[in-house]
Amino acid sequence: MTREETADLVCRVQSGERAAFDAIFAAYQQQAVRTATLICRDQALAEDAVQEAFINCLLHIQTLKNPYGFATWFYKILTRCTWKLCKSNTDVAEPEQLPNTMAQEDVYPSEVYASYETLYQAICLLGTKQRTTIILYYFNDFSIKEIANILSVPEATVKTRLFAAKHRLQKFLKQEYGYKKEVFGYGKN
Amino acid sequence: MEKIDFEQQIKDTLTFQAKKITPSEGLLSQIHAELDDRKEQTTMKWSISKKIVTIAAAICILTVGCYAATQLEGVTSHSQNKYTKYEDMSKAEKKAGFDAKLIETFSNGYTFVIGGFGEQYGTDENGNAVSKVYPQIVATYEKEEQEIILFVSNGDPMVDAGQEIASGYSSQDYKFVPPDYEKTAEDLAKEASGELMISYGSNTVEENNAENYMWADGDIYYSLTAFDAHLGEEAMKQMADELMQGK
Repeated sequence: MTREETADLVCRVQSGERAAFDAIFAAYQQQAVRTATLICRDQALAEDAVQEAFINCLLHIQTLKNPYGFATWFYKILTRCTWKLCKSNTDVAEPEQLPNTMAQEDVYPSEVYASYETLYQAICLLGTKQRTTIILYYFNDFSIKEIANILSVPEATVKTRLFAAKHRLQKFLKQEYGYKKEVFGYGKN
Repeated sequence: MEKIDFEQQIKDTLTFQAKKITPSEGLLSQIHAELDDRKEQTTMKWSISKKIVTIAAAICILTVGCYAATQLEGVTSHSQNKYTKYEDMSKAEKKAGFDAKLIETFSNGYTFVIGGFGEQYGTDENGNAVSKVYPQIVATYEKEEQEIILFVSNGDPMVDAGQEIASGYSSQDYKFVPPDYEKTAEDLAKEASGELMISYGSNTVEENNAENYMWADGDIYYSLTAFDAHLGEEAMKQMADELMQGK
């Protein structure tokens, strides 16, 4: 869904059209559940957070002055809801074993699969704020500026968290799995 | 070994993990149900909360010296009812932080329809919280469109305020009226005799009978409240006994 389409739906929701909200839900649901699950590592918890986020979204939709800013506004709400539930469920220590339900065309060679699992284990060991920043940047493709808006922090803080998180990931992989430092290059920043 | 773009690897890793995640069915309908429930709660907040405040106040009045000894005007309760399956009430217990003795169906036919968790606290005459906030488990039972609500809490603001709870059965007629309502001569006479309690704040005039059965099981406080069911003391005691006998 394009930003224009989303903005149009937001205006219609603000006018009281519930069907428009259903359309926004349909467009955002999957990514929202995936984002929340990656952050809190528990799909049941994530779906509670997503439910709460959409409810808050509809209840406070009138406060959104710029419909084109819906995505960052929604993810701000979603992040808060997810963090709140994460905080009240501190017994989630180990990352949940996600079922392997990928489609046939997504089957990867075993060494690639292993490297993804290894790196994911390392991402799960990051603190909540660093992990959230990594997820919003690499999974949701938000810009530094957008992430700063979502997390209500300065852009410099976002950059610091990204740098620190990547550094920790590399350090973890090197220590735990003997990955050589020179194997990992730096892509675009 | 070939140099790997680490940033791309992070991106691919997260995408790989995310593809395993499929949202559950029915999330949208749950959201709609919750939104409708919250709209009902806004009315219920008055209907139940104010009525419970009134009932609690009525119980206090029967206990001599109650108001002189405390600054509590009453007790207010807010809850989020989101569980329509009885087996999900374990989640409410988890969120409330304590276990309650619950039952799915009473022998008199009242059956669990919806439940959740919330909180209760003592309020002053302006409705401000003036006591510790206690988590609360709420379960609604229904039979032939009559509802009974079970409130369970691991504390009672009135007990904290130095008063014993008025255990057992009570029944009271109530008239909930709009702010501009003028009492009739009959209203005044019934109020004077204690037959009727009038409370301001509703949108329309509503006449109800409320029955309440309260008891404590150690540090856990139970309250069964029924509106216009006319169950009687014996029936409500029987329901309380069934709860205490276990799930």
